[in-house]
Amino acid sequence: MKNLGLYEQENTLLNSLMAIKQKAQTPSGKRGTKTKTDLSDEVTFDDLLVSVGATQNRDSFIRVFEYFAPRVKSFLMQGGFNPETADELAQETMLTVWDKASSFDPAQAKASTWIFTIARNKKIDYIRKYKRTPLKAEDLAFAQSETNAPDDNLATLQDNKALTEALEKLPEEQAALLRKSFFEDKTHNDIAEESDIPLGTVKSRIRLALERLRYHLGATDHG
Amino acid sequence: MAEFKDTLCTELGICDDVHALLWEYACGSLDKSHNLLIESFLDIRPQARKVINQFETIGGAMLEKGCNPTKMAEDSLARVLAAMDCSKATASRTKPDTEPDQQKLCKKSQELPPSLKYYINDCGQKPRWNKMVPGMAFCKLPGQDGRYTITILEAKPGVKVPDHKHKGTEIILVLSGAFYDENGTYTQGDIIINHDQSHHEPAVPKDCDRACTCLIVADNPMQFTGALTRLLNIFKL
Repeated sequence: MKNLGLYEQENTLLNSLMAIKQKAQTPSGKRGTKTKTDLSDEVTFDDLLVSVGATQNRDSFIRVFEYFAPRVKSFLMQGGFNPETADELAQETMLTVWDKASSFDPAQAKASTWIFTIARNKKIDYIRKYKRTPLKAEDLAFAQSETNAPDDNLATLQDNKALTEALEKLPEEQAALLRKSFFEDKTHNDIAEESDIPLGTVKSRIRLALERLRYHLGATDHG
Repeated sequence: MAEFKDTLCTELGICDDVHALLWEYACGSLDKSHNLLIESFLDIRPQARKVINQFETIGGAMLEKGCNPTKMAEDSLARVLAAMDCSKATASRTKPDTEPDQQKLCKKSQELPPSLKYYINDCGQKPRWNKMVPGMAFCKLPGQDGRYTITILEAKPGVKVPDHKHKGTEIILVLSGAFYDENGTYTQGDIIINHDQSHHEPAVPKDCDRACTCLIVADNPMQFTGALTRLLNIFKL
């Protein structure tokens, strides 16, 4: 989250956010030893979204917008949308972020997860022009997390840094396929045909990659 | 690099094929028909939601860290800020998800998973059940395009589905009851994937106390191969 460093001079906002953060008692990353990228003392996107939800803080919203809207746009463009539509859907995504921010709960999901599910659902809605949002929209991450034990959610939060590192360390053959399926909206079948890799291999490589990543969410046993 | 044992997926009996579908579902890249199948699966096996949640966390991390930003149009932020003021007023007026209109669902549809009920309800017409052979009925649902067919099949205990083969891939979700074929017995929540050209002759155990209901998403209509059952092809199941 080094991009947030750009805003470090905005001390007033930062201080108010820190106050909100302390109040919310967001669990800080305790997993492993402290590193220089440890965010426990910085404002995270989770904090920003909480302040958007609690106080309709526009400055916080703008910071979330400036980081995520261009990435949502990329995500959509790589999925085959033209720049204009991708821009519009990214705007819609951010508008929904604003509208629903009060339902964002950092104990249940990461800001990035939450924004991703909103963007994905906008994409699906646009493609299908289907009246009802098939994935029960923005509240997905929360509605579903009811089935998780509280400890699981905590693990998700604390391990996000580990997840990011694991993403970077994926073997290229796995990472490339994972990116294709994620960003380019390709089914396993499409990828197999396009890259001349047997379908079974595509499936197992993507599964290996995802298992490795999920391990860092405390989902799997090291064996 | 060491392998990681995926106990959650093992417990839930998630094979590579189903794992691939779940990831595609989380990415939002499934077509409407397969999306319906996975949502129905998640209704029946809510524990599998956890896998989806983890996939979404991975998706969020990829969005946040693994993606080069594309500059937004110059007026985008201004437009969103302007819309924010208007949307506050309308936000409370958004319609809640209404219960499916029970009138439109016929008797057989009552026990279906909620996602499937919603889907049928959104189709806007009462599902029509057709008899195939004694003790077996099916109902076709409209898909997004002509590429896939969505079928709900119901077979009573002791009924054998005539030998047939598939041109494309067929994915079956057991909604209730159980059936077996040459590879094993399947119960509620199981997903069976039959690939190209595979022959099979599924049947519902005689001693079952209830009918078996399945949701089937197929690439192509199945072909009945037995001499006497070729007539069934006219149903284009």
